[in-house]
Amino acid sequence: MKREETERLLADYTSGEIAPADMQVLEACFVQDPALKKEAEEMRAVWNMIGNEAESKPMSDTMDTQFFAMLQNEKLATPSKTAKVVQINTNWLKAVAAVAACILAFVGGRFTGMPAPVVEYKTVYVKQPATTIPQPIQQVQVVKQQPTPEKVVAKAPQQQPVKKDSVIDNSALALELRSVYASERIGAVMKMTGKGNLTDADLRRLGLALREDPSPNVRLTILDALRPLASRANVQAVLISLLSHQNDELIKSSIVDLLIDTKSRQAIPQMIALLDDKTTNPGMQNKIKAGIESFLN
Amino acid sequence: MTDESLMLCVKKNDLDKAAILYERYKKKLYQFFMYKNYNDQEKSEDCVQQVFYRVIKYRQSYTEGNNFRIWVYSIAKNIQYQDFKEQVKMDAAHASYQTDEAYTLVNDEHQAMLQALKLLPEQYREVLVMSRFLGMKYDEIAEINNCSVGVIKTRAFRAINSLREAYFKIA
Repeated sequence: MKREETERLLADYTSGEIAPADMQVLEACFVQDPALKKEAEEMRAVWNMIGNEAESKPMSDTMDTQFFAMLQNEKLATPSKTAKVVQINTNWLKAVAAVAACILAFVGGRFTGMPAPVVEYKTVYVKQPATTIPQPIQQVQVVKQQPTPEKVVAKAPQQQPVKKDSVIDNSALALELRSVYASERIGAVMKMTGKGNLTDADLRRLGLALREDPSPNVRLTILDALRPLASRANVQAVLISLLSHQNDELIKSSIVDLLIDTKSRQAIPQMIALLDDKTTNPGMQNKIKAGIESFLN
Repeated sequence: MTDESLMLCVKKNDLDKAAILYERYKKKLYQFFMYKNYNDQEKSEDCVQQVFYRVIKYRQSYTEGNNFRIWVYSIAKNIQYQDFKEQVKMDAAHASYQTDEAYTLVNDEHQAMLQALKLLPEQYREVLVMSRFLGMKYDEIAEINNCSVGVIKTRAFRAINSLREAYFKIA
C-alpha cells in the first residue's frame, strides 16, 4: 500500500470516519507494521486531547447583544411584507387617482367651457330680376304651335295678348333698372331717356332710382340723361324734390348745377333751405348764392 | 426546521429566523475563529459578528438547496482570509522590532498543544479545526476549500501527526 493511501486511512481512523472495509485493511497493516499501529494510537490520543481544548474560553455576552442590535437595525431597514402591500396599494391608488383627475378635468372642461357656436347651413335662393326681356309674342306663338291644353293652361293664363308697345318696353326697362348690375341699370337709363318721349311713369322711376340707387355712377348717369330735359317742369319738380332727400354731396351739387343752369325759380326755396343748413358744403353755398343772384338779375 | 429552511425564511425577510441560526452556529464559529486567531477572544467574537452580518446582508445570494453549513463556513473562511491578509501587512510593518516566535518546550500539556497548533501551516490547521472542533466531515471541508477529499485527508493526517510529534517530544 502506498504511503498516501495509508495516511488517508489513518486520517479516517483518527477522526472515526473510517469505513468497516477500510478498517479491515488498516488492521491488516497494523499486524504487518506494529509501529504504524503505535503511530495511529498516538494520533488518536492527540485528536481527543485537542477536542478538550475547544471548551477552554467561553463567549462573552456582548457578542449576543451586538448581534441582536444588528438584527434589529436590519429589521428596521427592511420593509415588511405588509408595508410592501400597502406601498403597492398606494401606488395603484395614486395611478387611479391621476387617471380619474384627467377624466374629470376633460369632462368638466367640456361642459363648463364656452359653448361651441352652432352653425346652421341654409341655402338661400336669391331671386334675381330677369336679365332678358320676356317675349310675350313669341310665347303666344309657342302656344299656337303646341296647342296642348296642359301647356297653354300652364303658361298663358296670366298673360294677356298685347302688342309690343312702349308700356311693355317700359316695364321691361323698369325691371332692368332694378338689376343687380350697375351696368345694366345704366343701360336701362340710357334706353329709357333715349326714346325722347319720357313719360311720367319713366320720370317717376328715374326719380326713384336717383333717390335710392346705391351706385353714384347710375345716379350721375340719370342726371346726365335728364340734363336735356331739365327745362321741363315735371323734370325740375323731380329734381327739386330730390334736393332735400339727397345725402351725396356730389349728386346734390350736380342737381344744383342743373337747376341753376335751367334757372328754375321753383328751386329757390329749396336752395335757400340748403343755404340755411349748416351742413351744406361752403362751396355749394357759394354756388347757390351766385345762382340765386343770377336768377334775380 | 433545518438550517436550509430557516435560511430560506431569512431570505424572504423573515429575520427572526436568523436568530435561530445564530444560536445554532455561534459557538462553532466562535471556536473556529478562536483557533484561527490563536485564542484571541475579542477578535473571534468580532469575526462571528461579521459572519452573521454578511449572512443577513447577502441573504438574497443564498441558493435554495445548498448546504447552509458549507455556505456559512465559506463566509467565515473568507472573513478569516481577509483578516489574515491584513495581519500579514501589519506583521510586515512591525517586522523590525518583532521577536521571532520560537517553539519552546513547556511542560503544560494544553499550552504545548496550543503552541503546536499555532505553528502548524495554515492549510493543516484549518482542516484540523474544521474537522475536530467544528465536527465537519472531510467531504464538507473539501467542498468549502474547492479541493478533493483525498487532499483534505492528507492534510488532516499531517496536521495530527505534527501535533503528535510535538506532544510526544514533550512527553
